[in-house]
Amino acid sequence: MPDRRLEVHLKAMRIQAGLTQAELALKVGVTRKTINTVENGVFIPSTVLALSLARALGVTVETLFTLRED
Amino acid sequence: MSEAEDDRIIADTRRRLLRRAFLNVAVALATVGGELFFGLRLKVLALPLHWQAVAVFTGLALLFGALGMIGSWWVTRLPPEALTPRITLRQSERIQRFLSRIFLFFPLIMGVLGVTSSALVIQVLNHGWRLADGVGAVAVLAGGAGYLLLLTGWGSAKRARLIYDEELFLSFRTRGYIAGFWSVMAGLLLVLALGLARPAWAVEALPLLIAAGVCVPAMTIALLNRRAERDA
Repeated sequence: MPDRRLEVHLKAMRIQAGLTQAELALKVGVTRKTINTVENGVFIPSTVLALSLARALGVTVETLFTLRED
Repeated sequence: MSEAEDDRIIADTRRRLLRRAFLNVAVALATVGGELFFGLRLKVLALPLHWQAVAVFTGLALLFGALGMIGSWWVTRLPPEALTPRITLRQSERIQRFLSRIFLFFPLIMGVLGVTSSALVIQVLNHGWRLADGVGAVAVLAGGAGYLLLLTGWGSAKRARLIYDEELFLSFRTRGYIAGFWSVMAGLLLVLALGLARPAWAVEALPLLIAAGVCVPAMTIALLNRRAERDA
C-alpha cells in the first residue's frame, strides 16, 4: 500500500549501479514487477526485501528509502 | 550461468510442460473412451446396471488413468537445472500472470460448483441421500478442493512456493484473503437471516457462500496483479 510520507530512490540507485529491473529482481529473488512497483511507490517492501535491495546495490537502506519531513 | 543458457532452459521447460499437458489430455480421453468402449463391448455398461461391476470397472479405468498421468510426468520430468530458484524466478512473472488469468474465471467455475452443491443439498434435504448424491458430493468436493489448492498453493512443491510467496504476489494474496474474510462475514449474516426465516434455506445457501469465499480472494488477486502489470 502506498504511503505519501515515503520517498523512494531505488530507480536512481539502480540506474547508477548499471542494472536493469530484471537483473536487480533476479539478484534479490523477486519479480521485475515487484521492483517496478517499489520504484513507483505503489508497493512498500518488507524490511528483508529493503535490506536485500540495499545489499544488492551496495548502499544503505536509508539511501534507498527516506521519510519526508511533515 | 548466462542469460542465453537461462532462456534455453526456460524454452525447454515450456516445451516439456506443453507436452505433458497434451499427454495428460490424451490419457484422460483414452481413460474415458476406453471405459466407454470396453464397458459397452463387455456389456458392463448395459441396462440394468450392476453397480458393483461398474465400480470395479471404473476403478480399473481410474487406475489406468493414474498410471498414464504418472507415465506422462515421468517422460516430461524437468531436469535439475530447470528447478533452480534462479530459473523459477525468471519464470515466476509469467506463471503469476497465468494464475491470475485462471483466477478471473473463478466466479464462473465456483458459481457452477456452488449452484450444483446447493441443488445437491436441496435434493438431500428433501429426499435423503442416494448413491448418485454421494458421487456428486465427492465430485463437487474434489473439484472445490482442487480450486482452493490452486488459489492458496497449499501442498505445492518448493518451486511453486517461490512463486506463490514472492513478495508482491504474497501481498496480493494477503489482501485477497482479507477481502474474502469480509465477504464471508457479510455472507454469514445473510445466511443467519435466511436461517431465522427458514433453517433449511441457510443450509441451502451455504455452498454458495463457500463458493463466494473462494471467488472473492481469487478475483482480488487477479485484479491487483493486472493493475500492477499495467503500471509496470
